[in-house]
Amino acid sequence: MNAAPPSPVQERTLLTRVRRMASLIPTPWLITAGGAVLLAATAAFGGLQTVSPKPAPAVSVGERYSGSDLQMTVQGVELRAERGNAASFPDKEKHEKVLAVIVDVVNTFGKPRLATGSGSPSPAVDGIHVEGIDEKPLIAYADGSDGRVWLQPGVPVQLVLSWVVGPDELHDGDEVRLTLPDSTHSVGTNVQRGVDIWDEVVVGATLTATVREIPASEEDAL
Amino acid sequence: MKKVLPWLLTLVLLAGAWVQNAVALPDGSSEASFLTPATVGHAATARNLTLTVTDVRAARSITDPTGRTLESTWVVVDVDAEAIDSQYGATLGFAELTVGERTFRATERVQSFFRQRLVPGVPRSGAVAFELPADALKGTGTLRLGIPSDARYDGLVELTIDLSDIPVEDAITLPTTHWTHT
Repeated sequence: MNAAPPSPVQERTLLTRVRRMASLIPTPWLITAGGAVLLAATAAFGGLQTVSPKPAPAVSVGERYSGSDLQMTVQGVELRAERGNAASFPDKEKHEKVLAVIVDVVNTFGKPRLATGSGSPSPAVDGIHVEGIDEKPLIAYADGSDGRVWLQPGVPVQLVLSWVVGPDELHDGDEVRLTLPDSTHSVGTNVQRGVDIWDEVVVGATLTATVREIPASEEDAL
Repeated sequence: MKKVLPWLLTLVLLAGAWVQNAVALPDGSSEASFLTPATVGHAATARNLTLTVTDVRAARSITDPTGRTLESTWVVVDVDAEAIDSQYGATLGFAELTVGERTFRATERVQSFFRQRLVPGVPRSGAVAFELPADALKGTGTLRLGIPSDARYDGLVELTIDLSDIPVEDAITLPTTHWTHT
């Protein structure tokens, strides 16, 4: 520091005192102090540790969940000896069964949408996933209507999601964990211009349900 | 003159830009459908399709030719349709009803004329059905019918229908899609 000695002419006002004091603090100290503040602030907010995403809320059977511009209400999980209206065909000789998830769905978007989505995980109804089963479910109307499932805007419909499971994979009273999809809507550009896209699929909610076994009817067991 | 000219030129260019902006069609117009307006009872033509909507009805329950009955809110559109010059790819593949902000697609839950084949010169008649929410039967609806499943760049027949005008019947039996007898 080669600060000039205070000239007698200079008045000793508060301002000049502060200025003089500030000029006496060496610059490296300031840099060090700034760095320390930054580190302390980082440490206070949890340091460089990965922030775990907010866990998806849990919904229960019969509770309405909204995600991917759909309202989905899981009404029950059944283990069926007969497929009923489900779209899966179990091999009876291998004693396979059908795991069926009954869901009430309302499309809250303004255009008709297929209940099945492309890609995996799917943003649509077939994005409902049962823990431990990798495949996507097959979807059918619960009332046995034919055809691909198109969700008309605002029209409630009951669907059956189904998977074929082995004879001993699941039993009556077992707990299964389901995840329900959520995603972000965008409108495509260029070659996909005007196409509605739901992507960035995440788990929107989890659901734990008890499997109810529906045995084969008498005449069918023969 | 030398001082005025650049200003004049600027004004002309600005005015030109404004005019161009004002007359430009919205984004995506190049691929918009070619719409043929039509009314109930009158034939309309769109590319490879000649179509007449003969009636628009509404019901709480419909029964298809196979006997399947579905309870909901239905708009049933009776249609006579034929292809014009080619049978190739000719189906009644597009049927949408727009009511307010919502667009509905003809149902595939029952057997109907929707997605059935069309033949050049030989009209077929049948009906397509739309499933709507219970509260949607009001206001005006825009009905669009055509051949392509993807309506971009292709022709569609468009009708405006007054939904609050349609009496709601208890039940409608959908006609079997058959050759039109005239």
